[in-house]
Amino acid sequence: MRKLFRYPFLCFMALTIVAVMPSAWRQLGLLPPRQPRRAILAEIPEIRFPAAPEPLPEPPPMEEEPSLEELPPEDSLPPQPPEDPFTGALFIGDSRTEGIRLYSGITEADFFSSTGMSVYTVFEERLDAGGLKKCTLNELLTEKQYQRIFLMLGINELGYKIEETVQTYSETVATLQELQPEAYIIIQANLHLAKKRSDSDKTFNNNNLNQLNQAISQLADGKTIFFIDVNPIFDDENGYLTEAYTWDSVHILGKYYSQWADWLRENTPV
Amino acid sequence: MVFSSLPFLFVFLPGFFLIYGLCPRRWKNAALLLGSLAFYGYGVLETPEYFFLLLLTIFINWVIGLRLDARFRHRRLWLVIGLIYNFFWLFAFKYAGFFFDNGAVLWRLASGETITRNWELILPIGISFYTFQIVSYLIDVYRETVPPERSLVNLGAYLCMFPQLIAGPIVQYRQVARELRRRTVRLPQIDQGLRTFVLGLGSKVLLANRVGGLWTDVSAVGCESVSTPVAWMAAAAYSLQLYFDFYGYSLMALGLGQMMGFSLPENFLQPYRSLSMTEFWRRWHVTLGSWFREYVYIPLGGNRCGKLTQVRNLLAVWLLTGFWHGASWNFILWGLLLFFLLTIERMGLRRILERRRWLGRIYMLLLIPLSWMLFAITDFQELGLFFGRLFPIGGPARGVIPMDYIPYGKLYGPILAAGFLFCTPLPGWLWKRMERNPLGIAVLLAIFLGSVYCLFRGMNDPFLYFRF
Repeated sequence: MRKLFRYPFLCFMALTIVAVMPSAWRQLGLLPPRQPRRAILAEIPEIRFPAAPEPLPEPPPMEEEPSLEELPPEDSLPPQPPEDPFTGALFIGDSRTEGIRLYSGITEADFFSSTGMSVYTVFEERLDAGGLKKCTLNELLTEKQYQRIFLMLGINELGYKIEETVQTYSETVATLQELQPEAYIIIQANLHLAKKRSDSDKTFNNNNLNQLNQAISQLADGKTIFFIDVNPIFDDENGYLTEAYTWDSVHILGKYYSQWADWLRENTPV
Repeated sequence: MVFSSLPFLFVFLPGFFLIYGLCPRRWKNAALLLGSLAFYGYGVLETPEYFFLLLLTIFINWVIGLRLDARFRHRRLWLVIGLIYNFFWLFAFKYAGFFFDNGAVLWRLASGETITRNWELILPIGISFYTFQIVSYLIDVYRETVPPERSLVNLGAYLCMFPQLIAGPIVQYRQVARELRRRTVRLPQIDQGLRTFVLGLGSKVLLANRVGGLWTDVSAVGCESVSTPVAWMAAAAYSLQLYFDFYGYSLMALGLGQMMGFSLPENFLQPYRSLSMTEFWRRWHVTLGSWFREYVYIPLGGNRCGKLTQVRNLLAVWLLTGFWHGASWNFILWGLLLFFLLTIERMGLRRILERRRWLGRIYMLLLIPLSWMLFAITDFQELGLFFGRLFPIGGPARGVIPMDYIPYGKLYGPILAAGFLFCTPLPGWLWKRMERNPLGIAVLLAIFLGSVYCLFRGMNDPFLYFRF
């Protein structure tokens, strides 16, 4: 044993491994976690958690999504589709919104987006947006007024329990309305995954995405909050993202973002 | 199980070495075999039949090896049976689909009927490596270079030992025959082995995985939407990632082997410092090159025949090398490209490149990323588009952001620079000076902790999207 001390590297490595092992085992689920999941999340937002062991609950009973044409006009003036939806607009989202920012050709709107963004981190991140440097979303929405806010989040939250995500989503939308009472909130459905990824991943797949999309579409009230779904233009006949449009099964290729922008020009409801 | 992962580092390794260390010497090979089988089994949990295939392969090759003993009359027949058995599985899992698809294309040209393949076989992990390894055993026994291994456990340990089971180096039986029977490990070897392992881990996690991000980002966006500088940066990123990933893995294998008393062969000898493709392929994936030289090139006649036959032998080796890497036409084309370059170099280009070193450097600086692009991109149309971005003589570009090399440069510049730096002799020179003193230990610990941190943050593998 005394000989071991002649090899300080070995000593240090043994100590390090023993010291780190409990955390590693906790991370792998071999030891129970020390704190509830949300608390850990607050410290290190990007660690992936294993999918919830309980089965996901039944989705809420499918109501007919009120299509915009069927809505009885409550006010005298029903909301009109805009000529130019992007001036005075803000996009909030994750890496797919980053794709829109970089490749769609939309220059009139502001973007508050980053890879990995989720409803759990959207108010904590500091980004360069709307001419401000390293601002939080709160600061941005206090400084500038927008006519419409496009919101697309959800895929980074698939590892968490769906009820928590929907609850946080709804709180997020409520906060946005508080900060920007004049703005319309337009929730976009999360983009589907291609078959290769969706069929092989227990967490990140279209079933979970569709469940989440369904749940957040319930937040739309047709007056100030709307829900739109771009998936039909990129999906194949089975509801997967068409293979030809993507390389990594998650993001569409750069050249297709302009189609997304065109679709938004036609289909932004208000 | 991937070496650079939390399960391997903090569950398997401590558990394995605890048991292996406590085992009496006679049982160490059995412990190694069982541990390696557990390692493999974990990796093929979804397809348990591949685990049994491995067991069957060990058993059958052991039996055949014994029959190849010099005294037996039908040893040649047994060799043929052995080769057919081993290559059959490799062919079936890896190449059957390719031949079927191409056969279908020819059939459609001939008869107009379209046949589609509705089966898809998943490759058993490591089969390309362990097949070559066990075949080397059979041929060596046949050639009477080594006596057949009488112990099933020893042969199993040789074939399956977890350091090299999944991704090489391809160890020839005679390189470890003596150590299988008898090896001693003392603290100096464990120390050295662990140091090598940590360097390999850092190479994979801190260099390869980070620089690979640029290649994945560019691929996700689509090569039509990046500017020429970024396309070149992406090609460089791929070249660096491939090298540090594979080199890191090989180092980890070497280190682990050393910790158990095996001196496994080196697989990479600073290949990016080569001045010619010929030199490159003697420094890159050395054990694969040795295998092909030993068991294909030399039996075909090697260098001891006319110039034209030598060229034919080289062609055979390179077509097979390309094909070994993957069952698709771009790999065959890649093999052909390398054959072409090697032949020209043989005919005199190499002398020129070595005499004027700057010329050699520029030559390799261009050919390394370009040849890897042929290797990386399977679809020929995509390949064409990518080359159109590399050499933009009127090629299409859709949605290219002007000056996109600035954000990409900011994001990936440092890691690209680090990658280039680690291809030069400088880090090695520095390391030799400090590996024995406390600074060296601090550096190794920093590498280990840095890698573990990255693993925790899930930045382990850029291909696994933990963040979208």
